[in-house]
Amino acid sequence: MRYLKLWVFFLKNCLLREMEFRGNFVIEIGGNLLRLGITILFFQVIFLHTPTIGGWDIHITLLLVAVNQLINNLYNAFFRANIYQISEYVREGTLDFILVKPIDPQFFTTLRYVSFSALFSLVFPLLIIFYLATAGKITFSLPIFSLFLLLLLCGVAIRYAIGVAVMTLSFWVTEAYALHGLYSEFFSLSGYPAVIFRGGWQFFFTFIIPIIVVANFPVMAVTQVLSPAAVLFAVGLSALLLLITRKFFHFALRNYCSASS
Amino acid sequence: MFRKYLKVASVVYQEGTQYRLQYVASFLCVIFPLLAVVFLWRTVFQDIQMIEGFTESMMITYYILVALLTDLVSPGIMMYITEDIREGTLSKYLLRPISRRWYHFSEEIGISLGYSLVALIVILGFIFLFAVDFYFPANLLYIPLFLVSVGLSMVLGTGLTYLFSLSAFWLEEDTGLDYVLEYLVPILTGALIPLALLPEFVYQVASFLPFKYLLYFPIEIFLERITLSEIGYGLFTQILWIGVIYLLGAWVWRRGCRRYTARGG
Repeated sequence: MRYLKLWVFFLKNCLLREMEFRGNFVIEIGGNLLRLGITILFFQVIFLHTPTIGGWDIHITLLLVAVNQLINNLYNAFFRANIYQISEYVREGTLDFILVKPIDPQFFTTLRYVSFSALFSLVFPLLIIFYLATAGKITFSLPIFSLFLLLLLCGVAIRYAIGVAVMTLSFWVTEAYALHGLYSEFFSLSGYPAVIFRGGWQFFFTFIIPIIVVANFPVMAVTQVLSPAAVLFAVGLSALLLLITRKFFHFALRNYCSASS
Repeated sequence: MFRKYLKVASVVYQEGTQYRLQYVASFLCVIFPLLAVVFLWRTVFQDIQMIEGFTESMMITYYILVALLTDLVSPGIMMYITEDIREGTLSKYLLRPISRRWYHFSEEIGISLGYSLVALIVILGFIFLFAVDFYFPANLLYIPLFLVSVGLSMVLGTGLTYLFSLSAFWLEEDTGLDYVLEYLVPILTGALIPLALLPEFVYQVASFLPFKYLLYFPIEIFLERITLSEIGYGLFTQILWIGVIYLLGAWVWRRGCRRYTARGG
């Protein structure tokens, strides 16, 4: 409860900061829209020349594009800037100021900043999903919709956990931001239909680097090709990764010797 | 005369190799998007033999060449130039006995070559590792023509980069120009998808712009999709565009310098 109140304060503070640079706010949103537009264009052009990609038609693919963008925006809105900054906290020793505060350090370092431009950009993928649903291209029943939401949350949780774990490496490595770039690159693959990955790759991208779980699982829940075991796996994996990341972060904190003073 | 510019290029190249981890990461940043796109097209070509004259191996080769050439030819914004203009540090270069333009040209080539060397090694590894059937031109004459065209693309790309960077004389920071470059240019160069696959109208528009000659044209040569006379015509157009862009660059530079106030410098 105390944490929730604190987070609302963060939220207000960030809103004030962002409203100071309104031009930038608009440009960020424009950038998000462009990025989404280009992904859609890419798939639209492919579907001009073929009816399906390994059995996925254009509507399911569009749903995947929207879901992937949704998860990206959620990650960017609440976590990205924070997680990226961990390396700076460590390098410049500003982590000290966080450690002396009477709150959970992981809470502060990973939730301090909220990006309202990313938050606002959630509108675009939501509109696509809304269009697909109202035009009858995809059908949601209530149980399927709740499963869809659950898997969406799992996707965000997985991205958060792995992101934090990667940047926690900056306690030992000075160039952890390069690793974060790599991490983003990996997860940019999550917007591709899972059918394109075959054999060993499907295994690799499900169990080793779970990009298929992130955006494809919610879509597969809607098309009803996801087994209950897969749902359990997604939930279990998210919980496990969150736990491991928390342990890892605290392990790193214990080994931290300040860079400042 | 050339030595000093060569020096600039080599220093920048060395700076680039200093950050090893970043280098390794940039290897993988080339490979994984390529991997996904290759898998995607393989899946598409399961049901279809040919798309607009592209066979599966041609399409895969297309994207491999895109990955290889993108860093070499893509126009961007040189942070050095825009920062110099905005923060007034341009003054020190105006006083030096070295042409600002050629200074940047060599700096740019140094950076690009470093990255492309990495990309080349990675991609060769990629072809062997994943047993990708690479389309190699049957007529060997197309290879030197391809290389000439790539050389011209690099010059054209650098000219465009220079032109975009000079926009800092007029534009304030963060006007979204970098987003436009990042997202729209890949459509027009053919990096996103071969231009021939786009709707006819978009293809026509792209043909009237210089961006097509950065990537799409050289790759079309390599894939033997165009005749020798079309190649001749294309190379001529490339040279024409280079002339236009560089003349424009020189003109914009002079106009810009007149506006330049050395604010804060």
